Amino acid sequence: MKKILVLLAVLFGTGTVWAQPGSAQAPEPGSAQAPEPPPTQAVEPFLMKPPGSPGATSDARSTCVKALQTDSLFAAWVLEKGYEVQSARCADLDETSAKRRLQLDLAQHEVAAARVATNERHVILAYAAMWLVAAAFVIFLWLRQRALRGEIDQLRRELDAALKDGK
Amino acid sequence: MQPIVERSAGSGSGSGSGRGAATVLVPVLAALSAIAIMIAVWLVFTYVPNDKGLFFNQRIFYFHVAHAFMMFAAVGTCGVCSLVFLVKRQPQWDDVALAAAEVAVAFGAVVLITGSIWAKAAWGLWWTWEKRLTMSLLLWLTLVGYVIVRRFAGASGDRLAAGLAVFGTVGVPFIYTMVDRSDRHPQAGANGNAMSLTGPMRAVFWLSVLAFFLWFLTLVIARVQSARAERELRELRERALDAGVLS
Repeated sequence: MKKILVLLAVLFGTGTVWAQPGSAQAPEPGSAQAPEPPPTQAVEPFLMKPPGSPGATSDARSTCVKALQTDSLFAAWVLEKGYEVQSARCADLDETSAKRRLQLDLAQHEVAAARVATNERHVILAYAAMWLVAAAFVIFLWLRQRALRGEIDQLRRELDAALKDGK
Repeated sequence: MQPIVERSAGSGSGSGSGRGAATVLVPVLAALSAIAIMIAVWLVFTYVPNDKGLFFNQRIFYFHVAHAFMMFAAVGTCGVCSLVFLVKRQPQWDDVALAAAEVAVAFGAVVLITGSIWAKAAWGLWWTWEKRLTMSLLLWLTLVGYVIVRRFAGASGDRLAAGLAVFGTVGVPFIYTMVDRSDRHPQAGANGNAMSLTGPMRAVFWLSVLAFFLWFLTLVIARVQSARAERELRELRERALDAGVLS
């Protein structure tokens, strides 16, 4: 839940920053732009990063993240706005639409779960890679051993012939 | 013919009887490992249930982790033999170290490739600079460095490479103990530890480890034979130069 709120905050916050060109600063609490929000804990924008993501992807996003980090009141205000938008969206749905949406969501989840549970593509790829590397190594060993044996036998024959001639 | 055989046998690079034993041992071990691997593959796809968190993809684990264990075994063998070679300067130890290093490179390549495929299935990413992945890559690069030094560094390459192998071996315990609760590496068992597996998963996993251990032994012994043949060839060339057969 916290991640969703933070995501909303950042998405909404990016729009807020763009709406104030040339200003990366948070609006003054108590001004006309920002109503006085209740004091809350600062959000943690780093939680949004998915594993291995390269970090903030745009200037606007990093500006927004900085603004959220520097002013907890501004962050709380953004969260409040996010709630308002979400509530407004939900209020637009009547009961039938909401049920239909829920059904679609569930069906989507079921399809995704089945796909993950029976994902054979990656397993097949991994096994193929394993056998390919093993086969390559064995062929490399066999070819080298054969070449070495051939060269050793030839040298031995030549040395024997040389020794016989010497005698 | 006779004098050459006697000199080769007395050179310490592999006696005739030793070579004969290895010649028999390699096919026997290869057959045993092939049977064990086939049984393991069959069990992985027919007997082991799906993992609750990683589902079907978890079946990569049985060979990915077994290969990682064998890579550690190969690196350990290479490091210990290199250390003994540095102390005693006996070429037999160097042969085993070289064989183990090349086998470790092959097993390491499988670990990195299958790990990357598993990462794609589990995380949606082919690669991430997670600490265990990064350390495994560094260890593999160290081994590749060992092989390159052996091939291109000339006469003193064996001692340089031996030092590199000892250095690389130190990394193994770090990699093994690097998975903890804060790590994003896919976890094998409930506690994030292969040792914590239970039931069919545990049995099949250890069977896979055994199968690949036999395969590891096969490859190392076969490669040691090859290293001894290389040494024998070098000695023969020297003799041929002395005898005027080669110019």
